[in-house]
Amino acid sequence: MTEQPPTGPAYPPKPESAGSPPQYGPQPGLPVPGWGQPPYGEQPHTQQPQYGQAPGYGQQPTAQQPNTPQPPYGQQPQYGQQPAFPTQGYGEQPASGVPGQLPPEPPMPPVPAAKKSKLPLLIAAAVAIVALVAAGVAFAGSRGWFTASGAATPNEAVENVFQSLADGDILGVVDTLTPSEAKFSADMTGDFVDQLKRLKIIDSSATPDQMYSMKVTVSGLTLSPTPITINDHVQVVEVTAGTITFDGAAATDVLTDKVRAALPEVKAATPAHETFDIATQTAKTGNALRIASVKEDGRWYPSVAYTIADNAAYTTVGPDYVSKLSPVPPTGSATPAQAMDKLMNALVEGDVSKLVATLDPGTMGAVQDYASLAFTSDSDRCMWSNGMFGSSDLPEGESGSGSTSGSCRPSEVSIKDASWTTTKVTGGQKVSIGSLTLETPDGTATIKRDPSVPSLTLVSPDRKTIVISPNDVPDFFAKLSENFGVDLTGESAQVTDIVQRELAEVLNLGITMVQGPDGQWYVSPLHTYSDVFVSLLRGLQPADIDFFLKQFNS
Amino acid sequence: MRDHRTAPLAAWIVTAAGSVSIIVGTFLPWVVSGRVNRHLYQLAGVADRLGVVGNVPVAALFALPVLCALPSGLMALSLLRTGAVASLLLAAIAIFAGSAVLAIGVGRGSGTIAITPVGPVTVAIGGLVLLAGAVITIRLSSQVRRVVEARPSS
Repeated sequence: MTEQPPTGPAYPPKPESAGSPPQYGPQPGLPVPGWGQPPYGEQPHTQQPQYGQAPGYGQQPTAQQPNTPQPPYGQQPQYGQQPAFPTQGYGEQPASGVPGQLPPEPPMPPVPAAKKSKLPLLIAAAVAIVALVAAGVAFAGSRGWFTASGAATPNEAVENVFQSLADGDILGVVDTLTPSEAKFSADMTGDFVDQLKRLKIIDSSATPDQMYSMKVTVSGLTLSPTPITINDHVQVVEVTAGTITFDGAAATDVLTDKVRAALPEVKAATPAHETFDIATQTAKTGNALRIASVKEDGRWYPSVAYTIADNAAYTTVGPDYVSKLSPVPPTGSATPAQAMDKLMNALVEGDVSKLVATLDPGTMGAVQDYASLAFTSDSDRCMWSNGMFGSSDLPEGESGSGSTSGSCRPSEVSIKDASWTTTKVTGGQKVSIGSLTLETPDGTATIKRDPSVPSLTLVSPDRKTIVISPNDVPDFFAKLSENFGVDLTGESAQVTDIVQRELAEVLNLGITMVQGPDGQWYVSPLHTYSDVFVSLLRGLQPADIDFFLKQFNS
Repeated sequence: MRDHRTAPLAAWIVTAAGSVSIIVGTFLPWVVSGRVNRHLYQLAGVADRLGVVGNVPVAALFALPVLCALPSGLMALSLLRTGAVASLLLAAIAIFAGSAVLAIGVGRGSGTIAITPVGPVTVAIGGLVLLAGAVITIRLSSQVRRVVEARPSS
C-alpha cells in the first residue's frame, strides 16, 4: 500500500521565518476569572476538527481552544499522517474563525464530558453560608439582640443594676436605668465635665467615669418573688435581705495641680467605707428597700425618679397609696415655643395639674403619676386661689376645696402677647423670652430681651423703664461704691468682669424643652436645671477659678 | 505551570479571611467597664441610648456583617474588580476604625471605663488581610484583562 498525499485545500504558505507564532487560547499558568466558567475568550466545545481529520479522531481537550497544541515552527505532520490533535500552523486562523478560509466542516461528534470540579459548588456554598450568617447577624443586630438594654421582668432589672454595681460597671449601671434617665444623666455629666475641663479644674484628659472612685460589693441579695404593681407600667420590687458595701474616695487624680495645691484637704480625704445590712435596716425603719421599675417598649428598667416617688408615697401615705393615685396625662406640643405657651398658660391659670401635664413624661413621669397624692384638694392644686400663692377670696362658683377637678382662679396677670426665641442645647431646645406683653391690674407691662447685647428691658405702667445689661455693671458698681461706701478697689476689675459675664448668661437663660417618644415637645425641669448650672459655669474663665482659689486660701 | 484555578481561589480565601476577621473583631471586646467587656454592637447600643453619638444612625452598623460578605460574594460571581474595590473600601474603613480607636483610647486614663485593644486590633488586622486580598485580586484581574486584550476580536 502506497501512501497517498493528503488531498483538499492546501495549507497556506508558511513564511520562512516569522518568530514566535501568536498564541491563542489560554496561556499556561494564567488564571481565569472564575470557577466553573470558561476563561475569557475561550470558545465552547463547538470547534470542528481540522479538515481531513477523521470524525472522532483524536480527543479534544475540554478546557482548551482548538489548535492550542501547536507544533514547533516548521514542524509539519508527516505526509499522509493524521495528527493526534488538530494542528494549526503559523498564520492559520482558528477553526472557529474567518469565513471563507475553510470549507464547511463536519459536525463534531459528541465529546465526552470532562470531570467537573466541585470547587465552584464549595465556593458558592461557602459564600452562601457567610452571607446567611452575615444577614442573620445584621437582622439580630437590627432587632437589638446584641444591644438590648432593660430586662424581661422587674426583678431581673433590679438584679441587673446590682450586678452592674458589683462589677464596677458604670456603663452598665447607667444603661440599666430608664432610657430617659440614662440619657439625661449622660447629657448632664458630659456638659458638666466639659466645663470643668475648660475651667482647668479637672485634667483635660479626664473622663466622666474617673470622677467616681467607688467600689460596691453586693452579697446575699434577696428580692421579693412577686413585684408590687403600681400601674400598667410601674412595678416595685422589695429587697428583703443582703448586704451592700460601699468603699468610696474622692477622685482627686482628675483634679489639676493648681486645684490640688489649693485644696490639700481634698487629697487627704479619708476613704469612706459603709456596709448596709438590708434586713437590719428594714427591721429598724419598718420599711423594706423598695426599687421601682418602669416598663418601656416591653422592657423593664429601674427608675431613680419612680423609686424616690414610691418610697416617699409609701412612707407618707402608706402601703395602700396605690388606690389614691390619679395620674395626670402628659400633654405635649408641636413645637418648643408652643410648649412654652402651654406652660405659661398653666401658670396664669394657676392649675398645678395642667402645669404637671406639660412636663416631660420621660424624666417627670413619676411626678405625673404621683402628683395626685400631693394635690388632694383645690387648695393644693390651685396656685392663685386659696392655694400656695394666693388668698382665699375665691369668686362665686369656684370651689375652694374638696375637689381636684374644678377650675382654678386665674392669676390677675394675663399674657397679652408673647414671642420666644429657641436655642439648641444638649438634649433639647432652650426657649427664652423674645418679648412678653402682660396685662396687669395696673396696666400693660412689657418685657423685651435683646439676645445680641444681651439686655432685658422692662416697661411697666407708671414706672421708669428698667434696662438690665452687662454693660451697665461697671456703672452700677461705681454707684454702689459711691452711695454705700462699698470698697471695690483691688480685685474690683475681676469681680466686675465675672458679674458682667454671669449676667450675660443669666439674661440668656430659658426653659429647656425636650422631645418625647411621641414627637411632642415637653417642659424638662431637669434639663432646665442642668442648663442653668452649665450656663453659670460657662460664664466663668480659668482665671476666675484662680481668683476664687486665691480668695479661698487668703 | 500554575493552575489557573489556584490564584483566584487564593485571592478569595484571603479576602474571606479578612472579612471574617472583621466580623469576629466586632464581637470581641472593645470597651471594658469595671469587669464587664462590651463588643462594638453593645457599645453602639449604649452610645445610641445615651445620645452620645448625636444623629449618627447607629442601626446602620448592623449592616456591617453583610458588607463584609460582599467582596467574597462578588468574587465568587467572577466580578473580580468590583469585589476588589469593595474589599478596598471595607479594608479602609476597618483599618481606620480599628487604628483610630486604638490611637485614641488604649492606655488612656485610669477610670473604670477603658478601651480594650482586642476588638479594634482584630478588626484592623482583618482590614489589612482584606487589603492584601484586594491587591492580589487586582493583580489577578489585570493579568486576565491583559490576556483578553491580547486576543483578536472574532
